[in-house]
Amino acid sequence: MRRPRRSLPELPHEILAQEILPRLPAKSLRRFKFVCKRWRDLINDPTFIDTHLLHLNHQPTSNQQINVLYTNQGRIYSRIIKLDFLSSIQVLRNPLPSADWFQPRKHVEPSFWGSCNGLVCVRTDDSLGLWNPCTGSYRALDYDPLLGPASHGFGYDANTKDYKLVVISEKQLYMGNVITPQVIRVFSLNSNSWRTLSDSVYPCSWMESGMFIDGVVYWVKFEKVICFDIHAEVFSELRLPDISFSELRLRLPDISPTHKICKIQISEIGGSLAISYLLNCIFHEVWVMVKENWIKMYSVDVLQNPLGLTISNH
Amino acid sequence: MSTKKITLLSSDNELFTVDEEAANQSLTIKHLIEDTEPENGVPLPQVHSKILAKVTEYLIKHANEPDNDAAAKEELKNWDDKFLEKVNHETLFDLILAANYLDIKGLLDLTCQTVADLMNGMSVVEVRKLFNIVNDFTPEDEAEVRKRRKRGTKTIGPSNDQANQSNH
Repeated sequence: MRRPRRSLPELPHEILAQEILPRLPAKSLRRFKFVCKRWRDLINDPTFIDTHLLHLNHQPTSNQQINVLYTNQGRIYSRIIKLDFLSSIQVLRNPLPSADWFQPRKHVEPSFWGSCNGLVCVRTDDSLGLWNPCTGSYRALDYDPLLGPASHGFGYDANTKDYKLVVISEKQLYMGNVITPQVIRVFSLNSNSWRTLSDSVYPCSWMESGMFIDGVVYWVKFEKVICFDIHAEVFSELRLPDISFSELRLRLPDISPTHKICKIQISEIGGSLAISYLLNCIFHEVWVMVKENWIKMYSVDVLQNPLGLTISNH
Repeated sequence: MSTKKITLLSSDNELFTVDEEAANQSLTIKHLIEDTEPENGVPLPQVHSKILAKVTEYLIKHANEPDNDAAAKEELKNWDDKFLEKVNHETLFDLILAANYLDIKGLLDLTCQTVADLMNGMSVVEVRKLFNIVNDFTPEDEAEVRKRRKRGTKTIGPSNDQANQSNH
């Protein structure tokens, strides 16, 4: 039995624009730019992009996926991993849409200078660019080779809807016979240009990619957290959680002191800054920054309690 | 403890009775009760009984949302999936319009997510048909797009995939 075809009720454009389209992944949105001009203009609109990101960042954890990028022998690989805490980690697929901008070279590893909102800042030996691994699009940025080895951070300034890259070059860098002092430079995608931060000199150097969380780039160095506000373009510092490593080292009597390695890693948990300590794969502790205080999330101590893993809910 | 009952009146004059707590999930109904104190049921002239029956079913089920009970949350999620499983496109769209008019956030989220999931596997032509949208690109526009795609214009995509990227 075929019923006469009735046309569907019409949904107002506001519902489509605010409630339905922001829930779609970028790949689908890219396709739906060709539905009509109104949709094209909507999908290209910066306000819509913000709404879209807000939806993505508030998905329940059980639906979350992580796109893990890694390099091996000069090639870039990507894996989509589904995060479901109750089941094991699942590798869903291994996609890498056309990275034709990238010429793999053995022995020269490309490096990731940071990522935010799904865009990845990639440095290869002859280029610097922003790459969207999901859509495969790539945009090369100008890069001043005089900057040399540097620390970097990549983030999104929500106030000006601009992507920024901050590069802190090494102090006293020898380029031929020229000694360049430490320089802090900021690239803005909107203006497509570099600026030097003249009045903001950070008195130490390190060589790492920072972690961007909610408007701030973080690095861990010299037993403190160095913060860079991507909008205000100013540096500040945070202390690390109180944890006594000398005490911990004493508890590992069988291992010679030189093998007692402690790793401090910076990461993001539920939108907050997190610090994890790993000591010889025996002791593992994770702290999360909540309202400007460090809160211990969990601690695994294989020496004391071989099967003890607790996660407290805050 | 007896809870106050609220009567809702559909556009075709059918009555639905729910607990006040269930009804208050709709901010529109909540405000109507506060402002007008209707005696013969809250009139909802924009919602047909066929849709209001579905809406009240949702409101009753979601009246006491579990806070920290993982099992209860899971049960509710499964119920939500079943709730829209056999619903056709027409009813789904009507539910979106009703959830929007009645201001029921949970129901609006659920129905809009269902439409988004549906669209995900669709072509541009299918999407135009679903929403009754006329293609206003000229053949010249489309030819230009095809040409640019072929050249592989390098642009930065507007935003990300459903994945929350974390790359080190």
